Amino acid sequence: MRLRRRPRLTPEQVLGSRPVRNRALKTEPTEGGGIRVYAERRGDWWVRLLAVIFPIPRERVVELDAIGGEVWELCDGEHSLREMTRIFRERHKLTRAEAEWSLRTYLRDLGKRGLLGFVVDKRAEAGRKSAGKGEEGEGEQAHGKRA
Amino acid sequence: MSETTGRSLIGWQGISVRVPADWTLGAVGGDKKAGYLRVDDEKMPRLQVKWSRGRMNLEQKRKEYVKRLTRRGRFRRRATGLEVTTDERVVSKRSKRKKELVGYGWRGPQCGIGVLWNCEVCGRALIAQVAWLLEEEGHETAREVLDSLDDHGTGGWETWGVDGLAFLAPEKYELSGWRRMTRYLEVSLARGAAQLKVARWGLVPMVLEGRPVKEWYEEEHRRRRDVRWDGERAEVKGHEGVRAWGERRRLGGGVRRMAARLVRREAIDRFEGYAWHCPESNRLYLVESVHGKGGEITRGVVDSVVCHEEE
Repeated sequence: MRLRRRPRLTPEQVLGSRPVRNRALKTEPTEGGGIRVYAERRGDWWVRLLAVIFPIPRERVVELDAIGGEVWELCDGEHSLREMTRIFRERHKLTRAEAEWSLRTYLRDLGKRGLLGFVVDKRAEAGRKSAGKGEEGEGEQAHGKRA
Repeated sequence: MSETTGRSLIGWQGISVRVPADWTLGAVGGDKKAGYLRVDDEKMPRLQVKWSRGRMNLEQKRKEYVKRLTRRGRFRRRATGLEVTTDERVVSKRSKRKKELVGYGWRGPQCGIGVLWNCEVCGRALIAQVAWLLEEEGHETAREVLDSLDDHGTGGWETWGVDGLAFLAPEKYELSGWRRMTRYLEVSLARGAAQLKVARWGLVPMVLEGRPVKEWYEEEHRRRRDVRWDGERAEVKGHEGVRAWGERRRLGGGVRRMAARLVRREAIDRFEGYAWHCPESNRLYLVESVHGKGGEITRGVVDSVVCHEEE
């Protein structure tokens, strides 16, 4: 089994990455303006077997508050982290650093829970490499965990 | 270099500088005697400032910096390819009175200008430089930043400022700690037993949760052990707020007060605090101090906080 090293992203790639919601998840709005996210349990055979022995719930529920709901709506694969920072900053009158750190913390947490992934544009990195090696360099890759 | 025209005041250990609003304090170190600060934007470090007590040989120091810029490698034998100028008029000498200063600049894939000075007022030696990428037209911004740079306060007060929270504090107060979290910022200063704390919250609706400021303050400070306090609703800087007062709670407080009176010293045990909500900036501010009689500085610090710009 070959271990694949997680690619290191440049700051430019991180800011240009676009969070995208896990489409397998169900959501419903909450009273406080937030969102409730339902992640169904995996259907693999070994999970079903474990569920017989251990009380694994059929679905995991994550409740996002009003701010979390706003972030969730922006995770449509179209908005980059940079754009989300700008929108957040304008909406809530935050400094660039506050908006960026808040979003990064939130998105990292959501990503760890498997609720969203990140589309990273490799063009910037590949463009740098192709300048030296003469290779073609277009493409995107998604980073994220399965729910 | 910076897309924003707004400016933000950064103040640290007596150093103050006005930078574009999207630059943020990246790193700090040292204290008032000798230290370092770095201000970054999302792309790269933009401003670096280093200070120390005493005078430095400006020409010699500048030569060292130029050598570092033009030569690299372990023994500084390889040329970096940067063009360096030492006759750069970085800042106007008229704007830096009582400072003996020299400047330098460099040009390459990255450009920058720097200044070194000895200040006759505060006795500090300072080196500062601003950098930008060749494709950015950053020279004007860099000059404005260095023009605004200063290394001491005036009238016994100096500027502290991080991420848009800027205030004046008495020069004799030293930094005792600071916290920067995703929507909370706090700077604590102290002078002996006297303390000063200035804090700011963002995303206020999530903090207040519909409560008035007084109710929020009471709930936040209900279990406070360090002070015994009372509070009332108050208008602070034209905003809804709370004023709190009381005394420090310390083991043997009564004995300490008597002992202080015996040696004719004022006990540092008075507590005063103000908190207010600024809807224009969507921020909640807090200024608290523990001081002795005659050491009332809280109101002065509150007045110096600019919570929002008047249009």
